[in-house]
Amino acid sequence: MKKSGNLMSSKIKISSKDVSVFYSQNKALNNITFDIDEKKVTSLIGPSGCGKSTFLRCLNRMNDTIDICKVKGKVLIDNEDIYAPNVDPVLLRARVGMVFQKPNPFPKSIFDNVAYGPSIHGLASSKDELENIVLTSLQRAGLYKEVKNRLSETGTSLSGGQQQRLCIARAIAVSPEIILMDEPCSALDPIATAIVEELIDELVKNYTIVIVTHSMQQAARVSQNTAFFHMGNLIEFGSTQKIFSTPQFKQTQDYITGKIG
Amino acid sequence: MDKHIVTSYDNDLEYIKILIIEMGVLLEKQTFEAIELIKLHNLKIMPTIRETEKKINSAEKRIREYSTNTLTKRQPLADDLRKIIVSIKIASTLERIGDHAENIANRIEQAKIVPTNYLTDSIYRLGQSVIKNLSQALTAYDQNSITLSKNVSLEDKKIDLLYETCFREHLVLMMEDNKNISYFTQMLFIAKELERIGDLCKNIAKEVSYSVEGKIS
Repeated sequence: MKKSGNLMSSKIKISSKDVSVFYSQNKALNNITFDIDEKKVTSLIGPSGCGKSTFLRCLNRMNDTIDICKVKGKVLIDNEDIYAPNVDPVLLRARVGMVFQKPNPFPKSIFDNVAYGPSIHGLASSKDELENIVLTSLQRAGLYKEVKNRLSETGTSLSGGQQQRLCIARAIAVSPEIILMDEPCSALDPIATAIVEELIDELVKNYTIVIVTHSMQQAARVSQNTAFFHMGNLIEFGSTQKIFSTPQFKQTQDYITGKIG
Repeated sequence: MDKHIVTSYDNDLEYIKILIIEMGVLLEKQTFEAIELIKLHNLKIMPTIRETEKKINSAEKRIREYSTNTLTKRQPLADDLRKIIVSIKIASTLERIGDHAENIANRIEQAKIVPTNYLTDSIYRLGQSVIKNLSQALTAYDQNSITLSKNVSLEDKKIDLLYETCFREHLVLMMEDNKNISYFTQMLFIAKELERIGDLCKNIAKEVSYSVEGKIS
């Protein structure tokens, strides 16, 4: 793997050091080493099965839920190893929120969907405070205006794009530092996609965002840095502008231009 | 060159290249005929020159439309994106070369009678260097050749020197024979048009380098 372009120097939020992932005997990721900047959007791109989602799931230990999955190497967040024995994965996931490909609101009211996280993590000492967190999160997710009169309706009654923004509101309600997004727009129409992308631009002022996407154009639009994965290896990492205009490696170039390598 | 998974994408890029090369052929013909006018004063070809100028303008429009359509359809990245951007820029540059070539023909038409003491062929020779460099720039585009691109830039330096020589020579002619100042002025304008074509050939070569290497020079 080689760094491309002039990466602007900023504080490193996540540091992946020699991360390898095994599903039983199969190696899905091979010694991944790179740094993710704080309050920047980093895109992970690559063909299906290249390991980008596996890598994303390493960042909040979602792979712990899969019995046959083993992670080797270190993932440091603010210089602390998240795989250290004293780290509670539940608390970690409050710091590192996740938004999935398909919007997955709980079968509860819009309000409860957002209130659930702060409640179980004890982030609100009173009902007023909880309400305040819910409304602020909905506002930050750009959903408040559309749902303010129907907070008691079920989350599943919303449109796909609104449901995805509800999931984003739910993720930010627990005040995470990092938001992981696994193809957050692949189930959305272009308008809903544009709204989510606009939201990402806004969220990056306060959060570090790592996004897996199959849309090269989306990666080019929303992210400052891009990592290209291929067959479990990190091939190239650099500024998005550089990766999409003059990639250094033929594999990267072939993938982003849709060529038979 | 590696092929795209979508074959029609390759066809689109190839077609844009063919359109540029066809436009280039028109330009070579137009510039050649304008330069031959300097020597032959065969004004019968003026309608052909004007007709070719219209074809050149249509060719540029066609390339712009097809390139825009390809950008919309394919949303290209990296070298593909550069190829299309460069095609649009080269088409626009060729169109400007066409304007200069037509200007040369128009000035010959206006100059009318050649003074008997006008014996130099320096502007014609300048024209021959320019057309040679135009061909070289178009070949550089066709072959994606960095070497030829560099040669175009080197040749342009020689063209600039030739232009300066022409300029000084005509200044002397004007001083020696002020009855024919208007003719010599037209010839100086022609020399300037040729020098501009030379610069535009250099621009084409720069675009070729950008297309191949991705570096803006």
